[in-house]
Amino acid sequence: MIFLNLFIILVLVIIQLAFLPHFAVFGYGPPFFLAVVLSFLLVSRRNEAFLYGCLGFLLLDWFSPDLRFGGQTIAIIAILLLTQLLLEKYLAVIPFIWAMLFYFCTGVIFYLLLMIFANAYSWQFIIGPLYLLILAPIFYLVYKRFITLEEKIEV
Amino acid sequence: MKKLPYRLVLIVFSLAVLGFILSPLEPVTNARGFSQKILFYPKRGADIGAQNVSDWFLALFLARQMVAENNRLKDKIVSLQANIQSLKEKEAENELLKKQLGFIQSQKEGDFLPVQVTSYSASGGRHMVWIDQGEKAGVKKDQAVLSQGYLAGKVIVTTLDASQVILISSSDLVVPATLKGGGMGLLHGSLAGLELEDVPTTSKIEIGQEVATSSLGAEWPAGLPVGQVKKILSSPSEVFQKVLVSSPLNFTDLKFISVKIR
Repeated sequence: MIFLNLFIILVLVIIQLAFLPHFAVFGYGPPFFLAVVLSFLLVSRRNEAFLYGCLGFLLLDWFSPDLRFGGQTIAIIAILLLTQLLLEKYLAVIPFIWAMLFYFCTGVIFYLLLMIFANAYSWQFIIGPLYLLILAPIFYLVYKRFITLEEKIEV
Repeated sequence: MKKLPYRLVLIVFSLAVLGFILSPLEPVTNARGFSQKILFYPKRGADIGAQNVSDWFLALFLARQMVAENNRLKDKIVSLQANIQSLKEKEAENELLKKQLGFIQSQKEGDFLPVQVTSYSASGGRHMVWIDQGEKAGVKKDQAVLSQGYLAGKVIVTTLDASQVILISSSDLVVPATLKGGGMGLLHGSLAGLELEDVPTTSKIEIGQEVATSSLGAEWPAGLPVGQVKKILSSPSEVFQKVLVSSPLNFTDLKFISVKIR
């Protein structure tokens, strides 16, 4: 199973780096991988969220043309740990609107951290979270429909 | 409830922090540059895939516009063919005159190095790309980068096999630029597009006026075309003028560009 996950991560990273920048809005590509990781949290698949978040963003960092390596990885780990600390019990049961708010707020934190790490401040960072908000309903509905809750697997 | 993979998180976090600190060092940048070769073929495939996807959507949603555009393009082809014929005649005439004057045309081959874009920033916003050539091919820091003859950006990091380019669509890059016919200002990227600021009010600006780089500050070669004035953004009461510049380049879809190596 782990090898299958690693293969999927690799494919998603290549898609994010090579294919999705063609659909960039104001220079911001679709935050596809971020949506994948956050959606795992919303179906309570925490292990997958951490696995995809850590390894995926490490690879994205390596291949991305950003001056500093590691910024995206540190940002996603901070978000994942913060979510675990504050929202662990609520994420799997929150209604649709709150889930959208979760996507947006985590997007804001993620892009804000990236901006701080890059030391390039601009209000334009808000485009990233807004793009995430547009993609969020699709990811949310697909995950809720096709990915089983971790608790249900254990029962 | 399953236990979280804390060991994995700790290892990855340590790697990221270590990389964050060490990434400006040359060996790390070189290794990142070398690894760009892995993305070369997926990128090429993705370019074709993206083109097919966008073509499909265009065919689906913009069929009417495409028919109209097709007709317009047909007219344009006829007009261009006439132009080509006229240019050919002038070229022949020019050659004859050169021979008569004993003029030897200086070939400036090798001024530009053609390169391919291998990847864009995954999270966007920084408007930077990796290109597939580095120091081995003669790429150096601060060299200008062009696409279709228009200014696209500047090399900011070089490794042996790859280089990083910051695009002029970025708000972080400021380019001194001149307006053809007089007037100078500073060009940078914004959400609306390319903006030319701090143009003195004494300069007369017209829509369609050409914009090119200026050698002010000696960082850029003078005369590289940037685009044309699209809109005047400032009001007449302002101290300096500000204009929106349209570039024919699509900065989110650059495939082949060239580096001005001399």
